[in-house]
Amino acid sequence: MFKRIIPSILLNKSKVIKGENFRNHKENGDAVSMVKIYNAQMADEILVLDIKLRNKGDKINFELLKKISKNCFIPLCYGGGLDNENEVFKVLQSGFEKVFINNSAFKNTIFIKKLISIFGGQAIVVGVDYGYENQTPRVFINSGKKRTEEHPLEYIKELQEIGVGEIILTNIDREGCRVGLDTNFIKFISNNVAIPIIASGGAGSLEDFVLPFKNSKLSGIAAGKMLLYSDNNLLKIRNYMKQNNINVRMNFD
Amino acid sequence: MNIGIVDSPCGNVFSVENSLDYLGFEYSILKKKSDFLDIQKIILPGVGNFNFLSNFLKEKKLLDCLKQFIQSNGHFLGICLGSQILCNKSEEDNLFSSGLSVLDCNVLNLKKKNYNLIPNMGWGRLNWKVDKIFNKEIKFNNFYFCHSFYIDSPTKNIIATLGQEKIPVIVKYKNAFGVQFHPEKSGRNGLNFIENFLEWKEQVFV
Repeated sequence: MFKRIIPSILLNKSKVIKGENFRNHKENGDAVSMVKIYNAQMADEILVLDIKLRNKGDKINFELLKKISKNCFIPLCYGGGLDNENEVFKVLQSGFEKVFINNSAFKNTIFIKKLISIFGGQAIVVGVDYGYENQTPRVFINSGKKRTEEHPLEYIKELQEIGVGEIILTNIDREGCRVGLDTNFIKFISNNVAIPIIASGGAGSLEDFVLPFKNSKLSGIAAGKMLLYSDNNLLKIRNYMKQNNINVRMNFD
Repeated sequence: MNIGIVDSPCGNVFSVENSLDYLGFEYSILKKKSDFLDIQKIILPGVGNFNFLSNFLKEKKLLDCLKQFIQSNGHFLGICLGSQILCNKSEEDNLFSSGLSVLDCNVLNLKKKNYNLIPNMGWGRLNWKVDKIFNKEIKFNNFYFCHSFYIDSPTKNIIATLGQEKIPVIVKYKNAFGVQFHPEKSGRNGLNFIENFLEWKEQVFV
């Protein structure tokens, strides 16, 4: 299978934003036009996260999701404000194939198991955020605010066991900083589990789309800021990967 | 020519509709037996659990309709789970519920193929066993996959496979095609595939 590049679009109640280290979010344009651009530039799929839907009563904007999928013929994954199976169902009915679950997974594996039994593991992506405590990697929850005692590898193995389809592994110290991916750790995780891993947090240079894939089972890389704020587009990244012998799909094939 | 998309509670019906809208084809949604009258092309989208789709089609009395349509050389395209339903049974529900049984085989877990990452998610390149499909030269090879099970098809029904493991990913019986990938989510390549299926006129024997 080809290695994937996945642009991520962060929303604040439907508006596109981007910050760093999960903070300082600034408004950044329109989601529908952004999806159109990424679709045209051969993204392998697109991740849309409404990160401010945290409180009870915050509603998912299904109309926006439908507008997005109307303009997009590649896979879409949505995350944010998903508390129950009805909302997941409505997201999938809006033309998205996967949902991204973060906090509720760590606190509640019963919820994840339930979603898997209804929608299949292939539709359930779990976000694993991690940071370092005295050089030891630990899972973080609550948007990177709260450290747990769990090692990411143990947690991911547990998620693999219950049948989760895919993991988005995010380094919270690098998120939005364009300082480079946590390459060694990403490779370590990918080579020690049997579910697809998407690495995120820190992508900033073309080299970041090559090194993590060398001698590694890593499935893909998600990038936000690099595509938003710098003169890099997906076609350029893709060509660079190809030149460096990474198995990536090309537009003539 | 009348095109029908089988209504199912599966997630990708909306995406399939989107792609037909984009390509400019008109279609109707098939919800019950009488909707099948005068339909020449049928697309059966599917994501989710084999047992779920099988029960749904049974309840709506569509299982026999579809079987009859396929047996009488109707042009049929089953997508993902919609292709697996062409088989007898699936390991997904421990070979419990029944499919259309037009392909004499079962749906098996990818573990049987020693696949190293399950589900098999992302873009893959097809190995074709034919030069043409829907009477057109094959132009594009890369499509989007998302599955944990595969059709253990008899060799004679296989049109294309995936990877070194040679997983059957396009199967054919009469004028019914089953594709394991998602053409509605495979960008331009997938739209081209759907367009060719919908424009395909004659009966083709491969």
